[in-house]
Amino acid sequence: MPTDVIKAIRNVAVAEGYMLVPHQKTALKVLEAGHAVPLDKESWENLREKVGIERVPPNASRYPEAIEEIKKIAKKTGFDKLVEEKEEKKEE
Amino acid sequence: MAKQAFYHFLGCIIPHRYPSVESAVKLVFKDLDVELLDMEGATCCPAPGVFGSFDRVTWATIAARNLTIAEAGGHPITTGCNGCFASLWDANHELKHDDELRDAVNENLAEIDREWKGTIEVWHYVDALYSTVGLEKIRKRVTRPFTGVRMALHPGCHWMRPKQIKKKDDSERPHIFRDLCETSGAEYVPYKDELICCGAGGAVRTADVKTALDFTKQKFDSLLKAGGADMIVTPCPFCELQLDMGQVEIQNYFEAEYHFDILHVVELLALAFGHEPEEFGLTTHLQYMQRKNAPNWERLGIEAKS
Repeated sequence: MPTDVIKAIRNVAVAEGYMLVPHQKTALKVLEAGHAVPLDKESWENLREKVGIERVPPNASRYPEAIEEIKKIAKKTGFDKLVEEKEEKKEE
Repeated sequence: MAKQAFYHFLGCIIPHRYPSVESAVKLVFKDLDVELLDMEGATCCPAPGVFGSFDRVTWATIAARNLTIAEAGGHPITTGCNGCFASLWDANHELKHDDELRDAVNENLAEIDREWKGTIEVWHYVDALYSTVGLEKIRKRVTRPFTGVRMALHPGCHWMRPKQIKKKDDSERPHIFRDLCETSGAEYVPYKDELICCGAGGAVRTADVKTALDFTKQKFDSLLKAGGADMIVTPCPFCELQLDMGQVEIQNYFEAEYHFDILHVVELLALAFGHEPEEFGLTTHLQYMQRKNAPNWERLGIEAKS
């Protein structure tokens, strides 16, 4: 599949240090909050209440142990090192 | 007979940015007598564009972790996001057919005392509605048909593509999403760029929002060339965000003004089933919040309430 080939090429590029900052930030957000787009402001909780559902959903927003599990996975695969802030950033 | 039940995978965008979709799907599935169970401790799917592009094994492991939550309870998963479907369904599929990937993933999952076994299936809301509930039952629940309302569709990328793998619909000439949306009674409007990407996924919006919006603008222009529509319906919240909030961003970047009301398919069905927009919070879509306006009630054929 062409998409698989593109993704494999991207995997190689990322391993060699070619990584856009906004993508790196998304990856770091998942390691920090368990979600790429987290429940990070009270206004989002208020919005949930406004539409008639519980303020905090039963995902990593409510269960911090889920985030710990993601961190353990990232440590095991080396993903944490792959996306960590580096002192000298390679050219994008 | 036992009620059909699914673990409800929420993802990120539905619960944290477009909660009206979460509220709407709960109404719709309840009306259709299908149970949605909380998936406690589910995380990001993970975002297939970024994670799939960074490291396949990490992507598959985090996806598999989510799958193990459903495996433990013994029910299939349903999700209303094409991106989450791309991660969960694709990972589930690849793990069944790639021994090397499966071994790597389970070695990683052992660190957190989990194991992927491949015992459950992943269904998009569209699959659950079309295949499990069936169109006939859905049509029977429609009490407020959208007669005369012109409806354009944006099926998005991952639900039916790649067609050789998903084996679900002809991604070049699809009908399933259209069949489902037409149960609402709305009039389908074909347009040339119906099947192109909205611009958000594949890590594009994250990389360069202006490029992403260029796709969106092309889609809108194509629809206007076809005579326009009263609403655009999509099965994906990331597409919904791109098409909805994207109109505000297009105004800023391209100084072009568009006014489309964007609905997730479960929001369309909630309205067609007779629920009022305020029951699930249609007016909380980010486009309305940012423009400080409301849906075009007259065009949608809905009585506006103050």
